[in-house]
Amino acid sequence: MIKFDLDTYRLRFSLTPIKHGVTGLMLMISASVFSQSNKTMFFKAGFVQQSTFENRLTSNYRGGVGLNLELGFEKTSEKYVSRFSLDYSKANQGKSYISYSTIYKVDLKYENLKRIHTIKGLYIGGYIDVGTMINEKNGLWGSTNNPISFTQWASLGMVAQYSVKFKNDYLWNMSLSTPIVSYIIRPSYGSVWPDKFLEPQNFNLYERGIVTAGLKSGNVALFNNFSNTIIKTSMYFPFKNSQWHYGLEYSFNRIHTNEIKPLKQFANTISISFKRL
Amino acid sequence: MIRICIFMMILLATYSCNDVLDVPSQSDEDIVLELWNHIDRNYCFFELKGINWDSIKTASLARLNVSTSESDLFEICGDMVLALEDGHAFLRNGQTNIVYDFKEGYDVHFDPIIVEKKYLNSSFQREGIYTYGMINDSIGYVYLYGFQNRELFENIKGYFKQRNPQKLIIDVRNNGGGDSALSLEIVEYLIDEETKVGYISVKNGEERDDFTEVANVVATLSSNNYPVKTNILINRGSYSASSYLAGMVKYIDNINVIGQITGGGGGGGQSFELPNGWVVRIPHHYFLDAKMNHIELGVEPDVEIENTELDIMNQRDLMLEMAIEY
Repeated sequence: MIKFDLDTYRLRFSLTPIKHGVTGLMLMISASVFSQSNKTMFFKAGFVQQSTFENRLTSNYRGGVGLNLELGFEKTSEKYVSRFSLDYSKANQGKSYISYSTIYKVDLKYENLKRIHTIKGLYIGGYIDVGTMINEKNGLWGSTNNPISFTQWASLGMVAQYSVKFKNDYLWNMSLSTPIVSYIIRPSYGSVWPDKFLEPQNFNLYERGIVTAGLKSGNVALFNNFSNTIIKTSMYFPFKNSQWHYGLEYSFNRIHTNEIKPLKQFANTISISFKRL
Repeated sequence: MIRICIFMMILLATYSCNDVLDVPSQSDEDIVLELWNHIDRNYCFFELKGINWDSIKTASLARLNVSTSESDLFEICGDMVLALEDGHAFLRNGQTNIVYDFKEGYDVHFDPIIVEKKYLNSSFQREGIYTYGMINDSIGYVYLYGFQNRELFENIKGYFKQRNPQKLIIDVRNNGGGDSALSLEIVEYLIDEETKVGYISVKNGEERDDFTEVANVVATLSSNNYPVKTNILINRGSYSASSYLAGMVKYIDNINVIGQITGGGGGGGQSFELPNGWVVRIPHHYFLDAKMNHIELGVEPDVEIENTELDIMNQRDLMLEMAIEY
């Protein structure tokens, strides 16, 4: 999806594979029947409202509303909950300005939580998260040779979930997750290339490619220099004569890093979801 | 233990949410200062051009008063950008674009229609912003009005492969630039061994002398290269990616640069939005040729020649004639 095709100056970015990938996954999900008593897949679709301040591009927060999709697989047992999810969102930022942009965000997460017996309904655990946020310039930026900004992260974090069942039918969930330590890759101070591309003998992307130099360009950040806090609350209701439930979920996500140039983002998402419980 | 974990998570979450959506001031003074600071922290040619940027701040703030209108403010900010004397730098408000004219003070005379009518044989092709064809059986010609559409350039390579010219003329006169990746790709098409064609350095901090160590820019051997004798035609209208091309080939043996000094444009621009929505673009990194010369102020040709207005009126292109003969 990201292709550095010139050594010198251009990072070309194609969004088509993301769009096709998401469409394909949606079709797969709709075709599959969520099965097994303690295993379930879930699908969420909703709207996201983002406010983003990316100091490399603007001196203001830029806001916009967009689409959010999440697919996942969850396995529950008496003692554990493990969850694998893929989250995708797309939202325009500052559409009314001459320099608007579109933010694409993809997040792949695996969470493993253990039930805490002393407090009924409480689970605590950790997660691994790999994500990318790409800010594509669409307005009158004049950005032929630097059409995007990006943030990529891989995080280890903590997650807690509290679930309550009412009358054995209605389920209320609340969860909080936040990274402890992360590996962050951002563009260098003065270009769209990560730092390692700018080292002597290394500035030929045809020859050396993006992956190695890109991965070397990151920095380890503790929670005080990269936060990606997510607070979710959801309520699930049963369909009649079915194990299937439909739910309404609200999620708040706050991303903040000072790595190279500051980035802050607040995202509020409301989605509906379907899940077999 | 459980309570400690919960407490720690709440603490981390609280810590990470410790700021609010602070909105920057849009007062005239703050916009001027934001623009000045952005340029101060990111522009890469202060030293090369000997710009006294501090005095620009003083002069710009002194122009503000209670009756300053939005258009006055745009003019003041535009003058700050023009003070950089940089064609890559602009200020936009959605209606007007303030940009430095890098051709000012030079006579630039070129008409691509004359090339098509008088010098190319009738089988020439025009695709998008590219015109290409044969001047005679042994000389191929391509005019690039901009640097875009690298796929289309593959068609041009195929065209010359079929006709097998012994010499190529690549004309980038009045070419204002574009995708600078294509410059290096053209060089790689013309060489027969891996060649260091220049260096690049990027701003890496807020201080004016904060730059990365220069990194080599290397043209690697292309699988479908065509390393014949080549003349690159330039003029003062050749800017940015055109100057990169001229700078990259300057010391390659079988390539000559013919015409008039280019417009320069050796920086790479990045855009930034001011608090009131205006967009400013300035270069954050620069390119040096293989002998570490800046190309920002223009690339000198190996063979200097210019068309006059009279030449164009007489349907002659002396620069192209030189490239054919040389």
